Amino acid sequence: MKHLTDEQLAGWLAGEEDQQTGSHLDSCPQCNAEALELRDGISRYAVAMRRQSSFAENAHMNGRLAPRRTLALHRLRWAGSGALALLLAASTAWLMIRPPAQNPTMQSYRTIDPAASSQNDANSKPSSQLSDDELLEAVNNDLSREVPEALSPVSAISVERNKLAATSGAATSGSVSHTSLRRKTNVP
Amino acid sequence: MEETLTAPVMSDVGWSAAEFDEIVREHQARIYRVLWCELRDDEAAATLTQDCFLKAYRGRADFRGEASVGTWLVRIAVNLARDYQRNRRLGFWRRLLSGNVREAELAVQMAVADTPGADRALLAREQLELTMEAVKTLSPQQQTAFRLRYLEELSIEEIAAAMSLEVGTVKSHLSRAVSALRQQRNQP
Repeated sequence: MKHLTDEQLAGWLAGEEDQQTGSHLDSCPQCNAEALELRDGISRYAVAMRRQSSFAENAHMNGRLAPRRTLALHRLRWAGSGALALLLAASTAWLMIRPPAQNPTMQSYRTIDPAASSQNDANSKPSSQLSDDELLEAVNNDLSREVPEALSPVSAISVERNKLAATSGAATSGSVSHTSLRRKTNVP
Repeated sequence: MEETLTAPVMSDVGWSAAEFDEIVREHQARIYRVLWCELRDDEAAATLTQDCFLKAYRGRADFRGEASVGTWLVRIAVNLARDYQRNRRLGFWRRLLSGNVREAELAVQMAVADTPGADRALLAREQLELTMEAVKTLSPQQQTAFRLRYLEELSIEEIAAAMSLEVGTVKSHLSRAVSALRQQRNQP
């Protein structure tokens, strides 16, 4: 059996009266089902488009004829949001550009380390202007010291002890008595 | 002085201002719908609807009564939409980014909202989606002919008059639309 052509089906969907098409649709369940399905789809499409355009038109008209109070509230909301955004931006900018807080650790590095302090004395910058590089250098100097700051007196003692050992080394065959060392260190 | 549609001027074809107001009231929704379906742009559809009536009012002397007033207005609207689309810069990108998916989904939801039963609603949704997909594959002119026939329910002769086409060309466009619908339906 020859089924309906596109032209015949289009004519039937467009409402054209055609006896041949009608009789075929009556006798062919396949074409009948297809025609009804297409018709349903088209009518749903038409309904959807009508509703959507009506919805768009109403929304457009409502937007145009919005009462002044609604518009004022709308503007107020936008103004509030704008002010809040400005406030946030300003606070963020302030946080980004404000001088770094003075860290006690930095201060301790500056005051404890004599080598670093002697270097910094030449530049003699206020601590608030201590740059990251200078701070890193101070830390490096401190770490690379042979003797930590807290042990400096012991270091001085050992230097003195070595000197003493060198001077009396020949007589005592290179050995330093603990008594002499203790006496030396007790000297104020 | 700005010319308005309600200006109390007796037209050359015998339309009084009140009569023209009545024409506007009667056809405004349809003209908006035709334009909205062509453009999918609320603002443009509203503006062009006004332009359509303004153009009709100014060109009332050209109306010879060969077609109905509705068909004449649809013809003006279709031409306005065509000109607008032709002149719209970056139209492709705008369409691409304008959220057609959201619009289609909204249309589907609105169309099947009042379909009772989950199964029937699902079937209605599928039918509608198939039809929408099929319409998308048509050329702009074929889409216009399809919508004027099934949304606006214009006769083939009226469509031909509105689109300045031959009756045979309109039939061919509608046949092509049915072919696209059938192909879409028969896709696995």
